Amino acid sequence: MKLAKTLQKKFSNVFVAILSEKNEYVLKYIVIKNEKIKESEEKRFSMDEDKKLSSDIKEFLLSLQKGYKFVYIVVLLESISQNCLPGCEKEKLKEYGVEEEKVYTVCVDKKWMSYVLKSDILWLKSIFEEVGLDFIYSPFLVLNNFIRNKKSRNKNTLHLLYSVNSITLMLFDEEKLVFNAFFKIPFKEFDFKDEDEEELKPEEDTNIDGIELDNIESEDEEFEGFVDITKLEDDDDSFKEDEEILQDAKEQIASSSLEDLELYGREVIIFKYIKSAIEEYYKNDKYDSEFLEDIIFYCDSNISNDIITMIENDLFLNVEIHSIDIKEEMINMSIKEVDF
Amino acid sequence: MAKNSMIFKLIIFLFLFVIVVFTVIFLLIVPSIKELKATRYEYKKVYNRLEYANKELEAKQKDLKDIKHQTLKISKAFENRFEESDFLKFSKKYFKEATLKKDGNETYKKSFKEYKFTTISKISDPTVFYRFLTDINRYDNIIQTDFPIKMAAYKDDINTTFTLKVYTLAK
Amino acid sequence: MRYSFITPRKKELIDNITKMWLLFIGFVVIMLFAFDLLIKLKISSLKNQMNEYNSKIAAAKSETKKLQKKILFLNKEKAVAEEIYASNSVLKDSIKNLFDLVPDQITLQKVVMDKNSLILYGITPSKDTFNFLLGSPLKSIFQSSNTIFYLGKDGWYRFVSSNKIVGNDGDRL
Repeated sequence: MKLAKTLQKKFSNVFVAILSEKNEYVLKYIVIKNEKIKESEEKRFSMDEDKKLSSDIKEFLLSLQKGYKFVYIVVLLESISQNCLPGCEKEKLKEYGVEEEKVYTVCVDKKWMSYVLKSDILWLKSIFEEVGLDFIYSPFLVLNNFIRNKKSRNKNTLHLLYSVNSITLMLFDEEKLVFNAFFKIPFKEFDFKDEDEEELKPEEDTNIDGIELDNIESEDEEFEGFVDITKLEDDDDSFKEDEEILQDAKEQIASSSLEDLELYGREVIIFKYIKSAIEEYYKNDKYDSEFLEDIIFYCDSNISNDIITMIENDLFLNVEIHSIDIKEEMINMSIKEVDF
Repeated sequence: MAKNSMIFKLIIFLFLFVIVVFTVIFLLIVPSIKELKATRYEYKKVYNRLEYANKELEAKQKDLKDIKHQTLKISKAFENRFEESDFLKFSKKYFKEATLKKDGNETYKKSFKEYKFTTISKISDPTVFYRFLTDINRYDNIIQTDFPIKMAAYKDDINTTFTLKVYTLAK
Repeated sequence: MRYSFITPRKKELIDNITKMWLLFIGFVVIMLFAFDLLIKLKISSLKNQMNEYNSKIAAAKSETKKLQKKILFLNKEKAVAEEIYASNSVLKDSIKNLFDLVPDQITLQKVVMDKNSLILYGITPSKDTFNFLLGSPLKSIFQSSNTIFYLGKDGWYRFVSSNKIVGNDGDRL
């Protein structure tokens, strides 16, 4: 075995990390030969309906695997059936009401494990059926890897993985996992002509029987401080002469505001999720909770200052931001997993 | 596309196969076969030589057998020790009296030893001597009667003195 | 380190077809080598046999030489013996001839025979009787023949006849 690995290192090995974002697949791959990185590239591909792989990403991956003998495809699984439990024994699953035969588990540091529904894994595998799939990582494990400072693994410091699609929360007491949560952040195509706002809720769970989730059930959300542009336009009569200028200006504001508003809307959701998670943590007797003092963000995408301010002010937490690259970490993890 | 690469692979491997097999055959098998042929040829020659040598040996063995058959008595006679007592017993058949006197010995014709004796005997008449001379050729030893021969009449007998040469194998 | 929920796919450096072809070619090559080995073994065994045969040939040849020596020796023995037998026989004939030569009238008293000489001592009624009956035959046989007569008391002559064959032949009568 060792010999085979040593031999394999001498050849080109390709590690491809794939994340799904809004309506795209983001892909980063590196080519390693003799422990040196020969190539590194990021690519984006559009998604098909139903999140299936479009033909161009399929072609890309297939041709990559034709060109190289050793290709590892790594995907981040952002399904909400994912969760973590302290301890690694299978009996723990029963304790927490999880059916052992219905989940796959990964044990970390022999101290805690992450599990996910087999059906979610199978679903992901079926998406990648034609191209193949080697590793499926849970964001919990990715976040755990980002936490490099051992001192920060304490009950006062909350760790948060902030990516385009989801946020992952973990709280440690040294090596023990004390609390965890995972939220998917939905995308909504905002049509500002449509006055009806749809309820934004986290994705519906399917096929789950009696699993206790640490994330919060959906509620009807109202967006406070939300400004209705259309109403604004109607109220303003006095600027009729400069209507054209105004029209342009409005459109400009409208288009930039749209993004801002969307961002703003999402961040509010994120903030609400974080807050509800923390509340749950404090409230539930199950957690021997202490007061949180710090929150460390591991950000894969842009985070606005607003949410930082919100957290600092409303939740009284010190915010630390680390800029990270999930795809990069996934690649590093897969390299370690292959044992190179 | 896949079909093309398959055919390509097939051709390459077929080619490789043929090259490798032919190389091995020409570099290894053919010289070995040549050597085998040469060795077989040599072997035949040696075998024939052996057959020939064996035949010669057989023939010689036959010759020896024949000769042995012929010269059995003579060979034995050369091998026998000369016992004076036995000889005197023999001579009693012919001579009234006989005595032997040793006269020395020497090597005869490299392989034999010649023992000289002087015999003094009394015979009744010469015919006895004739019989003696005839019968001595059938004696257990090879004995030559030689000169000088003295015969002297004395009363009714003839005192005969003659030389006897006994031949045996020189060990 | 294990991070993934699933295990990775098997990666092959060499695909099945290549593996099969390589195995096939390897197998054929091994068979060829085995065949070659067989040939070499056969050669070696033949060479061994040849060595054996060569030593057998040497043994047979030396044995033949030995036998030849023996045969020669036996022949020699035979020749020697037969020579001796012949000489005995010739001696017998000579003596017989001599005594036959002697007529009744003459009595021999002593005979001394040697290789090349014959001395007779005897009594004869008369010189002539001797000379005629014994002397002349003796003269014809021997190269030199001399007789001395002594007259005896009874009127018979004693004679001593000395006969010699001069020369190296040592011819017998």
